[in-house]
Amino acid sequence: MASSSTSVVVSNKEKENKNTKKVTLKSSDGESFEVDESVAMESQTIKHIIEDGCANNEIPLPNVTSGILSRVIEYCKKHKEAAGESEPSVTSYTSNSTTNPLTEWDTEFVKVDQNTLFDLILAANYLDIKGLLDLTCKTVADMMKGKTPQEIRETFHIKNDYTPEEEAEVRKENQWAFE
Amino acid sequence: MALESSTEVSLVPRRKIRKRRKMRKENPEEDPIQSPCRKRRRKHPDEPEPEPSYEFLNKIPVAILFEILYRLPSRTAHLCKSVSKRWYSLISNPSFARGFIHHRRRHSDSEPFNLLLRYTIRYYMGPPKDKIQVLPFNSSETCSDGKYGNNILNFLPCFKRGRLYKNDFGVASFNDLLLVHNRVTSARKKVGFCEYYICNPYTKQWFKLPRCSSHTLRTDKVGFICEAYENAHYRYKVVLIHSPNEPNATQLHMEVFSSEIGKWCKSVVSSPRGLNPFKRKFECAGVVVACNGMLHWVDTEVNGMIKGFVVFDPFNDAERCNYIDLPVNFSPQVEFGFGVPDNFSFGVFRGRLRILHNPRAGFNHTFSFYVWELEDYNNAGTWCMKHEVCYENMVFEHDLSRYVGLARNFRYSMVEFLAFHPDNGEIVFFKFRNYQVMCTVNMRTRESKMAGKLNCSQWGSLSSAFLLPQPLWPTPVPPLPLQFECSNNC
Repeated sequence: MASSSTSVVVSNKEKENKNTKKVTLKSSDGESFEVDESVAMESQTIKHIIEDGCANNEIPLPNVTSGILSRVIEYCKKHKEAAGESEPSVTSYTSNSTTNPLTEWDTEFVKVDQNTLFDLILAANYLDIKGLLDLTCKTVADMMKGKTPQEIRETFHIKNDYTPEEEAEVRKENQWAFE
Repeated sequence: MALESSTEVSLVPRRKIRKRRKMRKENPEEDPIQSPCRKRRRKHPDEPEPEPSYEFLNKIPVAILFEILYRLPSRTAHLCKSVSKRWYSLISNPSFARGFIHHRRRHSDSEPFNLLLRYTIRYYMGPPKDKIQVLPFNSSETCSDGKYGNNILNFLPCFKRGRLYKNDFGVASFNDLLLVHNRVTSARKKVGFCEYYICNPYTKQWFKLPRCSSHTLRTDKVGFICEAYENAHYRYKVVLIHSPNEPNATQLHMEVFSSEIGKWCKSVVSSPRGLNPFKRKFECAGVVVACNGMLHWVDTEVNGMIKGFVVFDPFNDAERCNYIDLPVNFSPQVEFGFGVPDNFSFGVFRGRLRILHNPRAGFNHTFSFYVWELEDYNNAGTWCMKHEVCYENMVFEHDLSRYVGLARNFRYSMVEFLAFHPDNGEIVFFKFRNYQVMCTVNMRTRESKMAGKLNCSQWGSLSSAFLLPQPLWPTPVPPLPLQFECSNNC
């Protein structure tokens, strides 16, 4: 990575460690994680912070707890390794295992309880990590497939605010979807 | 006035719903329907407060909820409307449909489509019967075994009547919507009227238009065209075109049903050329296609041979129609000794009108066909010949040659044009006249491959073929969906 031509402000200390640049991410509960800059840049949000030159000491992430942050970092590391060293990976999650070699790993990664899964969605959204957002949203969508509306309500604890008549009307309007 | 539709309650005024809620608020004991529900939903005093992460899906930003819902099959997404009122209004919002389609398009190349074939089956005894068959193509050139089957339109009430009534129906299509116009006569020929239905065969929603005052004759043509405008609402027109009584007529009498007005209106449309009474010598002569925001149909000579196209734009230019001549280098369609005219069909590819001309002159003639595309509507039309295919250059795949003599059907022009492939401009679908098999011809590589088996009686002759795209989000049939009051910020 060229040191002189970039417009990013880099400190002298960082110039010495060009190849293994690290950044520190701080979770909402005060824990710090040191990661390779290239891994952190899987997150577009962090990437913009670094490029804007605001990443002097630590990058605070007030919306992400340490538990979730450690998982997110695990995800980014794994995907960065798989994509190669050159640029941030642009592989988005696909269920097609021939194009995505990490399908199995991804499937295991999302085998977590609902709360954690939802926190991962929020973190992926906040940190703007496309692959993780794809993966987690697809997982939730898969949980809905094949279920009746009542089963969906039960799975996700959603209150039914329809009266029986209203529900019957809606069902009649969309009868084809139930067949 | 209540109109018939598949969701008959949809025109029940919202007042009823509001009234019930008001009643519930004021007199909870008196509303018999509500009290049992209220009892069921009352929280038990010992039940703990649910944890904050429950109802996650109601608390996350709408954009994220959409990201989750976009990844559902469209059927499940529609089913989710029943989950809660908030979800109903979110999913019914046109911006959701737009985002859904956009998300799908990024992740897949081509969209599936259905080929709808209409046969007239003539029995030895009794009147001819019309049958509709739907063949699904899931983004390939071969059709899969459809779950639609052969009775695709059986959900319409006109097909549920008893045998005392005779149905004589025609079909027009726009995207995934069908307009079915049905002339009903009782066995004793006492009653006769024409019904018009707009339906979506995929969702089985249908809507019946109010009755048209003028009589629809068998020779009349019916066109159907929609125009989308802001927020996925759309308006549509159904145009009934009466056949001129004499040759060289410069005026056409039409009845137009406009969704915005809600009733049929008579109109007189002027034509720059003299038009002849409608003849159905060619099967395609009865069809009106919508393309480029305009309706197109053929104009024939007095003897029924194709002369040109009439183009009508009911939304922008409703008082006159235009005329398109056939291509300049079109070889004349002369009927030779056996009385067999050239094969002529037309269709639409990517918003352009295309004609397929299969000359059948002469005994020693070998099969060939030409495809022309209309490039410019001005000056009575400018055509461009896109493809030319001769039998000698064609390559038949193994499966086709296995059926003895199948390839030879091409030679003697015993094939019928079905449709142009919606995504691939080089592929055309053909049906063999005497075999229940469909094939594709790639006009660039000259390859012909099997496309699927048809399941129709051998006595059936094809009267029309429609290509219905299977859109990523089905077009709703009017009237527009229900409205619910929703307490959360939707």
